[in-house]
Amino acid sequence: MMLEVAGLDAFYGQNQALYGVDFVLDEGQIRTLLGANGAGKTTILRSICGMVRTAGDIRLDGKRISGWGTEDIVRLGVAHVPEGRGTFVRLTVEENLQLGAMTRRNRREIAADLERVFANFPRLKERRGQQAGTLSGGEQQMLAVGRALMLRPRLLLLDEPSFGLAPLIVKELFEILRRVNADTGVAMLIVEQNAALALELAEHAYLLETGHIVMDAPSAVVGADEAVRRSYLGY
Amino acid sequence: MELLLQQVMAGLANGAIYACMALAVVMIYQAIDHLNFAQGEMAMFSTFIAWQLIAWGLPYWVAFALAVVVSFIAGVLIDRVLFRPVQNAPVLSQVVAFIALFSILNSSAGQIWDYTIKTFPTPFGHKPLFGGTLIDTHEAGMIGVTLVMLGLLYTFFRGTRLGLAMRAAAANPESARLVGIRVGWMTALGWGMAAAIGAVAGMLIAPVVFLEPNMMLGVLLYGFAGAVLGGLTSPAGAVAGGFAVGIIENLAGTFIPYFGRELKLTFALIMIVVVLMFRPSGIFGRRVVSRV
Repeated sequence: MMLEVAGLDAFYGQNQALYGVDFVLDEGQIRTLLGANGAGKTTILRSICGMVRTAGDIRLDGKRISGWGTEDIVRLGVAHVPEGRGTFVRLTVEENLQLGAMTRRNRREIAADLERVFANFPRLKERRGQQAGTLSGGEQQMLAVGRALMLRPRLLLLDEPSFGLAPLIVKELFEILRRVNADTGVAMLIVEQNAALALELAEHAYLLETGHIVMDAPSAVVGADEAVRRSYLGY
Repeated sequence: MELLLQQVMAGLANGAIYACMALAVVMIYQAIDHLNFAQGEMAMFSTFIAWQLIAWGLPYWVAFALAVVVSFIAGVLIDRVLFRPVQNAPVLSQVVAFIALFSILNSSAGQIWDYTIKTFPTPFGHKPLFGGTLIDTHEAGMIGVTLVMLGLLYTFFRGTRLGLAMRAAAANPESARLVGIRVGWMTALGWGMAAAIGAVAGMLIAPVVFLEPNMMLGVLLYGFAGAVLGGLTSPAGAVAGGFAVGIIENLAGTFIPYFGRELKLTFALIMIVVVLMFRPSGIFGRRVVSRV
């Protein structure tokens, strides 16, 4: 297993946000975390990146990374597209993308990857010299995903990629994610409010309620569940 | 008209001092997102180190280079030892830490080198330039060095990956960590660079104002004024702002009756307040444009 999480607790000050969470993700897989607002989905992603205080075990390729600094975890090939996208608004589009490859050395490979991102997101190429803060919401989300891919990650963590985007753009974005997964074999862990879409992309889903994982099953099973359909899919 | 030209030139010469200092101010502002009130004292201390090395018999440029290197290392140490522990403390605590650093450096310099005024050499000499009294070779050299430093900084920040990483770390530390940048070291590097620039500024300023522990008091204030006028986020703006402050100060001192030499320092403060009222991001500062 590439990513193994066992007995994970997470805390914000005195408040506990996760209780004994267990899940796994193997190479090349796409899995999704579903749940209501405040269930702890974002906290799981932040725990993996060492951005909250945790107890329990997080292993990447068998190596225990709990307690590591964020920048050291990133250097292992974990790219995180955070909530709010984490864009460097004052820098240009191209500078943002270059920053994604900051930990890499081979300039030729970086240049090639930049072209690949531009091929996936032609709008970013048109706006490469523009201040990133002037992009539309959809373009900024594309930029955030593009920046994450510039790391050549082994594991991509996506926090609500569809948030605030028009349905057509969401569809395009998920299509690109599927293609990138097929092309590069990068594993993805996706937190999503739009459960229908996430279940379509991911092969396996975890359902979170108030910091506990209450369901751990293939997407088809989760999607067919009566309670999930009523609460998260709306039919 | 001739008087005007003369005062502008004299202002330009003073402005070079402020521009130098403003550059150091902007550097630290970029790294830690606010001003360092001990910046002037750090520069003064660096200048004393150079003075001591020269007094021990080292050639000027060797002493110059050593002082810059020592200042860079000292800047990094100040970040690690003093600033890091208060990094997440309220701004007021940080200001207190900076004021402490100010007193420590000021008093130590007084203790080690005493308060008598010392002359500091210049490699450019004090010969008149263009056959007049408007501007001398040292002042011209100072303007030249300031512009060279500006050019180097520009190349570093716009043209290198490390410069880009530093800008990213300053703009958005959390996102910078998420792309693998070691933000703590970027801040330390910013301190080191600001200290090194301050050292250069101090060594250029000392031949004009003479070396003593309180030499930077007024200069730093003008440096702040220059940086604010030009925009705290823009090194080029800060340099232009420094020159502008020098020129405006001189013109005001000459042409506004009763203003005179005594009220010149007040003028720097008035300028800071006026700019902050009408254009908080400075004349060349970049306003953040964002679309939601």
